Amino acid sequence: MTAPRPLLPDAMVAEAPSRRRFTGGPSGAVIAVLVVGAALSVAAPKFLTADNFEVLAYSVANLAVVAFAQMAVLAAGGMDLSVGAVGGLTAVLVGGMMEAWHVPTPLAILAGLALGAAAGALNGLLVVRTGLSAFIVTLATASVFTGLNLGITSGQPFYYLPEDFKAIGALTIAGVPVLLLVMLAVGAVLWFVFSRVGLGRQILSVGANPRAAELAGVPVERSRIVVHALASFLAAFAGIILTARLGVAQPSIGNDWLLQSFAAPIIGGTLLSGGFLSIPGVIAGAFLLTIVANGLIQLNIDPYWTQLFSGLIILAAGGIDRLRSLNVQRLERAERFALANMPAPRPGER
Amino acid sequence: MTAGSDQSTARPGASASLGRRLWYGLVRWDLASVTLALVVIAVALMIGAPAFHSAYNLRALGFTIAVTGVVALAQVTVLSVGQFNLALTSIGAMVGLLSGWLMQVGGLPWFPAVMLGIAFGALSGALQGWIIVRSGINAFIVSLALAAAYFGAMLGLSRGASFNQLPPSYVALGRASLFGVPWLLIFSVAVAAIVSLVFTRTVGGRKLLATGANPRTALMSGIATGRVTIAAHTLSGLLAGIAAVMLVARLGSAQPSLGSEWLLPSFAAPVLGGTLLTGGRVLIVGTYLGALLLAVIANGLVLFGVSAYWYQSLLGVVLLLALAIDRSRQSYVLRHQL
Repeated sequence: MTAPRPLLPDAMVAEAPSRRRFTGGPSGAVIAVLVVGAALSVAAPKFLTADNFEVLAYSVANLAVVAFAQMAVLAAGGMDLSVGAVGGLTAVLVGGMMEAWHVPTPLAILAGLALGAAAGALNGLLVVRTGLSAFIVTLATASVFTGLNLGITSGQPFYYLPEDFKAIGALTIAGVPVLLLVMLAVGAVLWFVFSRVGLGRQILSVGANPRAAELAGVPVERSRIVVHALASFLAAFAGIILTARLGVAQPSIGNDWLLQSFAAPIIGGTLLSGGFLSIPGVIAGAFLLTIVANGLIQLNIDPYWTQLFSGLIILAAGGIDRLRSLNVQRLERAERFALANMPAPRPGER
Repeated sequence: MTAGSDQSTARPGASASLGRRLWYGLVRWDLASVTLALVVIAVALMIGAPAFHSAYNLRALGFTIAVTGVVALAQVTVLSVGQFNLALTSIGAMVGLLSGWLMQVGGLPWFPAVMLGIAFGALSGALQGWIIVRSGINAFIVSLALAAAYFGAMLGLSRGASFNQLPPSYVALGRASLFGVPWLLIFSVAVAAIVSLVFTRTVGGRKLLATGANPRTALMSGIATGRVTIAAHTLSGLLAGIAAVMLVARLGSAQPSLGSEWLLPSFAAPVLGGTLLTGGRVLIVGTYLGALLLAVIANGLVLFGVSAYWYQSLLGVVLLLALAIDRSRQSYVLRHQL
């Protein structure tokens, strides 16, 4: 890295706080979690028990990491339909390496994460090099990854995983599952990357306006490849922690991730149109989805209806996203108006 | 095809040798990639697996294309306005189960039951279009959410039941052939012909394409793009419903899993056949060639004894390859100003 890193114009950096003000950030999702949580603790006596907390913690941990993956691509103005397929493929690859080849646990996990990142880099390369939409590319690669998963396993899970791997899933610190802490750590790292590191800021600027980003010297193509690699890395991570939790590497892991991977970030304020994300919002969104699904069970509602509720929640979240992006558009129009009406600088004035 | 295609002297291909001219013609032809792939794979299969061109196998292929073709048409109608219908799998499942329930539990004869089912499919599509247009929510998200909501509602109401006591006359229709050609295939081609006529010969069809090509220009030219978008989704729901009742007749039972495998082929078949994902351009013949290519590939894997699990991978690779080849074909045409 001898060449100086291209700097973002001040305007683009300064834009973030104003966007936050206009999109509302995570506050709505947090309020929804508190309201639904309060209602459930009154209506369902078993909701506020330690056992149920553990169940919730594991689901939130897994769902939030999946949602981080989708959040990253959405923030760059794309989407990734292959999160579930990458998660499932990584789960069976890691499981298979440990069961069939007796690869040590840490090595298998690292190899799984590397394969995940490679799968994502492939997604990104295909999007950038062919110029096709991320939708169709990731739809096709999702099919490729799922087919590899089923072809390798013939649909049969790997049952005999090493004890040290399964122990990760059961580990707790002061009653809090380690996997929940791991999720929070991943969130903290992502927060740091997207708010303090040039690369993260570049990804956000590509999502906000790819053309402006390119004119400002941001390597747009490289940012897109990196963000797809990051998303698949996180999806692989989620697949591995779910396998550790279940104690079985099931080929069906990731089958039902797609809807929720979009729902949690949108509920939490990440804009579908790109350029803005909120990590606390994603966690709150994942928490909301989890307690709603949990509440339906606690209230003895037929699990057959769960998908209907998920669909309606994401539709509502889409409606809120629509209002937010209208706000952003209004903000940008106001900024343009202010720029256009700025008095011309007088000679001698800087 | 293009505005300048009659100025043959201006094109570099005019004075070239016969081989060159053939090559240029091939490169300019929209259906070149899918036809070539089809011919190569079919010839390879005829040599490698003689069972491929047995009457029995060809009939099985015919049944497959009949349903896949209509599923693809359901996607084509929304692709024409530049949108996606991810809910067509759930609409198919709803329509199949509703018709099955009306026949088995409701005791209705098959024709009104099937018609009611298809009408319900159209209604579900219309609701999707209406939400997209009126709310302004991202069309992808609406479709994704409704796919889950429709499927959840269907599961909640049916409790995972399936219906297999269907009227014998209806099930027989799904297996009958005319001179060795399945009735379902004849029906499917008739549906395709109607859809093709709608796109090429009616004002409504042209409005769909204009909206897909450039919604802003279409709106400025006085096309009610909102209403056109709702119409596209309604038509998509209707076609997904038709595909569902065809599949129910073919299988002899209505199950909740009906349509669960439709999503990728619904995109792959039109795209292989030259339909644009961005809207404004549809090729119905190409869509059926795409469906045929997918069916032949699946068939070839079975004939060579490859595990069906690999089919999904191959489907994804074929889709990516076809898209990449078509991209480079188009840029070649542009670069050489053919």
